[in-house]
Amino acid sequence: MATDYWASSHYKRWIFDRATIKQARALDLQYVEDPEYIDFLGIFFANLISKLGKKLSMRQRAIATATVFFRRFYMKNAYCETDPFIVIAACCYVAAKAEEFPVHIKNVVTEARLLFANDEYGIKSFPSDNSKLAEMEFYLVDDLECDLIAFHPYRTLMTLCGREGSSVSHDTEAGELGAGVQDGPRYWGTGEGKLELQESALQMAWFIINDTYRSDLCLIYPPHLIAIAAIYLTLVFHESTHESLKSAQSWQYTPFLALKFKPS
Amino acid sequence: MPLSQDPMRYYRSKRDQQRPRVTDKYTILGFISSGTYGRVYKARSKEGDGRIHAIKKFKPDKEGDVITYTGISQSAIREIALNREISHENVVELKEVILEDKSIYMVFEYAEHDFLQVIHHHSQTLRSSISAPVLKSLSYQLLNGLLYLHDAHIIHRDLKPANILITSNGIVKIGDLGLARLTYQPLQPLFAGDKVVVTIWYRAPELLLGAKHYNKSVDMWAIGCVVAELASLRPIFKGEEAKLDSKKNVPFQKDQFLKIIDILGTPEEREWPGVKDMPEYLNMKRLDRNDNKLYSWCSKTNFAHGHEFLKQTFAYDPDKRLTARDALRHKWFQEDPKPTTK
Ligand SMILES: Nc1ncnc2c1ncn2[C@@H]1O[C@H](COP(=O)(O)OP(=O)(O)O)[C@@H](O)[C@H]1O
Ligand SMILES: [Mg+2]
Repeated sequence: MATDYWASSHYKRWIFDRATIKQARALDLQYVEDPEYIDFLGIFFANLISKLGKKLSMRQRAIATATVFFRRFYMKNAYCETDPFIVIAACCYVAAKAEEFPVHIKNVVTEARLLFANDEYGIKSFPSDNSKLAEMEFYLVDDLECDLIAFHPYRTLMTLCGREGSSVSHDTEAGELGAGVQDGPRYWGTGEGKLELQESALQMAWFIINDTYRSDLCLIYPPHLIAIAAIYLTLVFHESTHESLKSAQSWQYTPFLALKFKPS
Repeated sequence: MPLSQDPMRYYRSKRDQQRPRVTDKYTILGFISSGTYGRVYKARSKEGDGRIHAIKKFKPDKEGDVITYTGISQSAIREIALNREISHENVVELKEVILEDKSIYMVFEYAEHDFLQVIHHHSQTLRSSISAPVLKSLSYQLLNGLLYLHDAHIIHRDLKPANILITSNGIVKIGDLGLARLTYQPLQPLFAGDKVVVTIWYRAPELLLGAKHYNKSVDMWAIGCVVAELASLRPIFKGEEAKLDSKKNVPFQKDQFLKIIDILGTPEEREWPGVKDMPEYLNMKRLDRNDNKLYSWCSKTNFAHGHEFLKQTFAYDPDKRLTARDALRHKWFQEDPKPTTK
């Protein structure tokens, strides 16, 4: 489980194709002129979760889990039939518990009320009563089918870059990069052949992963694939990494050059 | 309340109508137990083959007499979240979770007995010890379930006879993941989440000495205690728990520690180099010194064949303690008398 993505609830129940995701928005689409607005809403709410999470001192992984919960919830519900603001608060509240870094319900209510009421959002109706948030939590957990453990690309990124401390050689992710294959020689997780990224490049990959939560990617692709894509983009966008790759003799660089990516 | 005041009303009524009720699906047959977090009921499924289940109902929170929502407890979140991910013959299987009327119902496969009952049955009714082949079989299955959990990076943290179940076919099932935790890359150290883990008689020495870091090996200590208890039909280290003080500080569990060194002797730095860094080290030093008497404990319990096994699960140094994987390969399980199925 914790190590085996392929045996997880994440893989078994919460990966969808694009058509199914589109279907889930059918009701909401009736209320927008341009379907793109729905994507904008997705970005807007992801940003809001991130803001609330930071106010609650939640770690990035817990914020990511809250965002995944939010997107899963709206695979079964419509924005227009629910109040996304209380759903957001409940997602943060549950995710903090699921990630074993709980925040007190009172804090969630206070911070959510403060944040949502400011001029940017102008939502003054967020209930001050703890029990309303707890009630939402109850329904949320039900809609999430009690699947509260989510996998994230951060883990693959850090494992590939050998940043997981001493545990790397023993705790490689099964289901990620062929770990779990017990036989034969292996290079993954041995520390040999690890990806060497500059600190700032690693940071960029991390931020790219943060950004993926503004889209539906976490409902479509396994996290390790998202991590690889983020690393790929980093190799292209990160100036000095890009330069050093270009100048490296041993590196078959032609396909990269051919792509001619330019940071926008 | 007008809709503008509660925009979720429509959503909730829709969900309330869709959700099956516990009593639609199950007939409650009786009450099994009442614990810290709630009650366990025996129930028969109304669908299909009418199978028997155990339904664990978490206590709903009350404000006065009115049941309200106060937030799902960390323990319930854990137990639910972990159970949804796992599946192993020697771990109790969660069939479904029903959320209804502010209460959470976890529906588990039914297991006829727990180890506590088995021990009680032998000591009170049969007045004879558990035979060596059966004892080995129970221990082996228990370790097999634990290895699965450990491989999934889960520490159980509350292994004791009441939380280990056994079906009418003699299959051992580890239960009660209410204190269990994922240890894979925790966002904060384990001790920060829960001040006290593991029921006192089964608590490993590093926990008793206030260790800030601990790992899977605390479960292996508990396994040692359980195996010893199966052999002697009484807890091997039956200490008195010192209560938390008014500031909720955890006191040094002196009596429990005395019970341990009574049999295992005083921990030596040469066998456990880390002991001198333990927060309660000085308190421990003040206790009278003792020699290891585990072998004589085993002999008089008629358990000499299990001495080597116990000695290794009771290694003071957590890093030297037998792991679940190594325990399953221990020669004890290969030697006569060989394990049977019950
Ligand atoms: N699946 C089950 N089948 C039969 N009895 C069970 C089952 N699960 C629990 N029990 C009984 O209920 C008791 C309490 O359950 P447990 O899950 O340990 O809850 P608690 O958190 O209250 O200790 C157990 O000691 C056992 O006797
Ligand atoms: Mg219990």
